[in-house]
Amino acid sequence: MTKEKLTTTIYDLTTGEITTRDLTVEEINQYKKDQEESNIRKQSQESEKVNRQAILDRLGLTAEEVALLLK
Amino acid sequence: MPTNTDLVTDLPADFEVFGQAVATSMADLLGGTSGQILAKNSNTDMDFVWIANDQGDITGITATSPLTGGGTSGAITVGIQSASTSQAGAVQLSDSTSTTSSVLAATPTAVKSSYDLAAAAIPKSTVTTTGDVIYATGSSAVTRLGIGTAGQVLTVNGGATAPSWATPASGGGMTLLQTVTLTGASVTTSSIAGTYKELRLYVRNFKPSSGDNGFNVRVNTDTATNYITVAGFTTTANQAPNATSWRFSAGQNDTASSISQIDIIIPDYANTVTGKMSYGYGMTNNYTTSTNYNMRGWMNWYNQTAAITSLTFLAESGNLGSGSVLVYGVS
Repeated sequence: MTKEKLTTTIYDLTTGEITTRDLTVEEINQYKKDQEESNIRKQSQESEKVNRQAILDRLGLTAEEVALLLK
Repeated sequence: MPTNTDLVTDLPADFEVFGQAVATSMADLLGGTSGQILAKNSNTDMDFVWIANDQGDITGITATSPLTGGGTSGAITVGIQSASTSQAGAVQLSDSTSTTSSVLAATPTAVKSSYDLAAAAIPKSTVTTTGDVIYATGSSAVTRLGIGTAGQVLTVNGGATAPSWATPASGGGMTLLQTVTLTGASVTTSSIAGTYKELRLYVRNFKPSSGDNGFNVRVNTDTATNYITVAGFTTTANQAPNATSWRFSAGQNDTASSISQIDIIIPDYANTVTGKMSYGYGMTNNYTTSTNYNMRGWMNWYNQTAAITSLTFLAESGNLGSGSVLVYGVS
């Protein structure tokens, strides 16, 4: 399996210099951390979505009908 | 001629001689025609000539333009034809300075009126160069103002005595600081000058490399949990920072037709006494082929007081796919 090379590009607005380099170890760790946080957030959002749908099902309402009531 | 001693018998011969002398000296009196008169032909005695009786009288008038009429007998009438632009003749004078007639002639009164107007007019020689404008330097006095340079505007000089060209004060303008291409794991604009009132970012056609991953912005490469983002502009309650970047989750899903446009404003970004706010509006889905659009708004807070000198653009997760960001400084 080919491992994707992670790069970052920096635009220095003062000098106009543009540099593209590989991520440092620290940056790679942050990159992975961002992915993990994103997954957690998405799982949380998905969980909320499931719970919301469960409530709607219990009430026998659609999301559009609830939105209409809260308008 | 006979003398007193001549004999009578000599008289016939003498008279013949006399008669012959008279006939010779008076010969010019002979001839002539009816109506002719006798005139001296030379200074010699008895030298006459018969001539026509027309001396000292007008016997005819020949009229040439602009005169009309004329003749050589009877009552002779002479006139002057009317002048026009195609013939000489008599013209009527007019004091008018407004007539458009082409047959009237201007009087000195009309000429003076015109002269007075011309003398009071601004002379054409006041201007000398392309772009010159004329302004008054006093009552009935004018001068020229040469053209300014590109972008200058007309204003009043410091002494409020004359107009002048000046470069408009900067203000309200947007300066494009950089156009960055969204690629790789992240893209950073660094060394942002603190000379603007706010930063404005136009995100064009953003697409993550994979998944439903929004567009994130990190300040000053700070990866601490100093950020909070609220979609819809209102928190449900007091909310603590909960993220490591601002999240513009534009709802993209990385399908072939899904791209995002986002407008992000970061006001007062260079102050060093408060946290930093940003807000943005975004639209996802292809702007030309889609029939449905996902539009959202976000408000963000960064709880650090340091001036913003760099912004890092990254996908919520994974790599940036494509798109660009126009970074403006707003004065």
